[in-house]
Amino acid sequence: MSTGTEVSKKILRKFAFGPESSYGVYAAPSYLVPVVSGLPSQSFASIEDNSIVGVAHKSLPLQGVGSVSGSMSINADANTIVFFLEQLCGAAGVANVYTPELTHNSKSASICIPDAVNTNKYAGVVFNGFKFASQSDGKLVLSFDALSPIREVRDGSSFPSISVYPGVEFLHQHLGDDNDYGYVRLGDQSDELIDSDQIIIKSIEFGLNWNFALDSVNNQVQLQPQSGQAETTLSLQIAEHSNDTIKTWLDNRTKLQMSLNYYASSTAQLLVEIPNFIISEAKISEDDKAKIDITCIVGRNGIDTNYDNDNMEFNAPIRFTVTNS
Amino acid sequence: MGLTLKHEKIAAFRQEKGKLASSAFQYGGSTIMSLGSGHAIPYTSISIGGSITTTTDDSIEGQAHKDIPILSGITAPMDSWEGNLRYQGMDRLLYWMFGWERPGTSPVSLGGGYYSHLYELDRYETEFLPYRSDEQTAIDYHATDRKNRYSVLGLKLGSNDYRYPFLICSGFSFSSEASGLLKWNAKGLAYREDRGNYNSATWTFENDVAGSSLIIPHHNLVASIGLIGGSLSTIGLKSVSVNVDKPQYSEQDSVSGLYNGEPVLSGQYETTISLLIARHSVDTYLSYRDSGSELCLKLVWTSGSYVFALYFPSVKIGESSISEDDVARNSINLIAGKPSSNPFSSDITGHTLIQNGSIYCVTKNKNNVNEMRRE
Repeated sequence: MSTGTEVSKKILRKFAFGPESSYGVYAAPSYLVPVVSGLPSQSFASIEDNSIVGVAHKSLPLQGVGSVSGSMSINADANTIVFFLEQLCGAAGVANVYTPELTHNSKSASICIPDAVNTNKYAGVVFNGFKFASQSDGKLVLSFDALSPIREVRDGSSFPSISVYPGVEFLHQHLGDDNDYGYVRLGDQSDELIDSDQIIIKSIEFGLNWNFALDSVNNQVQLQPQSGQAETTLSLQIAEHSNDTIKTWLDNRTKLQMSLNYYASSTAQLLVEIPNFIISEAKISEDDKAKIDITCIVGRNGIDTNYDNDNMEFNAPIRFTVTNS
Repeated sequence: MGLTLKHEKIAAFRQEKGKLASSAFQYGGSTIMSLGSGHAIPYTSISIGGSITTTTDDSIEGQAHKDIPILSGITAPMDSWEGNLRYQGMDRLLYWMFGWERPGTSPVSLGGGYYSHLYELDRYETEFLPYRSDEQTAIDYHATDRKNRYSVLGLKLGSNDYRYPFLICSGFSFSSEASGLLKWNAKGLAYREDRGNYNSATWTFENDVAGSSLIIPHHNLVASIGLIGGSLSTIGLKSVSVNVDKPQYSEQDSVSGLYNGEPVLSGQYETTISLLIARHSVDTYLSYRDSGSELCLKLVWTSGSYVFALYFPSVKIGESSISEDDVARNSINLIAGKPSSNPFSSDITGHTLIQNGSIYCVTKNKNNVNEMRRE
């Protein structure tokens, strides 16, 4: 039975993200982002009626504080990734190098998602749980949890004007190529990483979580989320167990460094540098051809110029360099 | 020795005595209604059984091995009883679930051999107690009449009949989804499990109850929702689920002995509704959620002159979201509360609400007996 009313369809959705110059003030976003899954959703706490008034029937609950949240994932591409790196680092890139702030993250974003019914707009959005993940035969996927205390706005606004469109998507296979432009290098901190430090991996995950938290006070709108203790994560699966170097590093709590370069082309690259970490777990898998599953604990790289690893002279636990032109 | 085959099971269900019952009935006593003709009730699954508790003696007697524990409790909980709802033959089950049908005015004659019943949740209690002064509306009311919400359930299981007397309802639900049937589900607590000959050979169905002629499909449903005092909108539901919790307190004491004492309504009812709108085409319900608007909702299944309907005079949307399906759906979770007025008065002409709770139920069928005063 036709209702003559347009219906929301997944294939017709589009997502625009953009930075805010002032927290919580919606700024028309200009990055068209290739979202794979997830939608922000608004919810309200429910304050139950627990009064005893001599009858067995309850009254309706009252509406409590509101929040917007949603877990989302995107295909990382060379153009729109810069928006997310700025949010992840809490700082704008300098000459395309994105380094996380050392004390706090005060960045926020606006999101616009039209559907067939209305245009849904979100302001004051912060991101927890940034995680990059790629595995063989797959794309580099960035996932995150969006969070905001500010009410969702649904209206008839037009989709904002876009200035940054998705570019070349990064694939796991871009971590290795015949010319060694793409690579994964892992080694101890005695020397700079070089070609001979290359390893072959089936999968890798790395990310940064700022642990933003909402805080309700004497207002139905919660306070601006503040970042907490940041955590950087790293785990990977080496394709073949052919030597026990990893196990030795685990036993000796050897301080390590890693750099990986997703090389799609000379104008589409993502370099990730992790200067200082140890291996916390290394398991040989039970596959027919055994692999090694590695979990790491990542730390900062010293304080000020007193670097734990002099081969990478920055204090943040992770750093990104983007090439997109 | 007979085998217990699932397709040969029969359930029978009958209300315990309420009229002139003050001394004739006692929870856990010897007066238990017998099951027979017209008491069979169709169902799809049941989880009920006698249950004992034991207590171990931890005395130190110079032995490494303990003696066997002693019997310290007997009960018969019903975790789940489920069936496909029908327009006819379900009224005693519905009365047992809700606990109130106004004597004197329900059922209302509709003409043509059809009658309208209205069931409510008792606003004070579910125990075996006298009618309150404003509840004494039966034409043949007597001071020894009692509100009796207990039933006896019988199951034919192989060579024995199983009987569960003094069964109280502690919660119920209704659910249906597209291409499916309207299902009912109930949980409760019986006094004990009896095994013997309870005349299962005589357990027969009322006319039109067995078989699928009066079974209730999802596509008979018309769901309407809107602001109180405003016009209601009809919504297309992929699925609907209504759940009512009736917390019961039942424990042993030195008087009840091995068995539990009479269950007592120990808290307020919780009524929740989940709807899944098949296609997200308006943001109306997100707006209602955001503003905390007070709404009213009715779910009405109809086939000819037969009706099964649930009314929620005061609800709020607690949660609502849009799914990521290829064609987005809109899920709505509602909480029902105590209303200050009845926005559905024109739907229940001839009936009078007494209990004014978060949910009430109307059936229209050929049953001309008030279930609260049937026995």
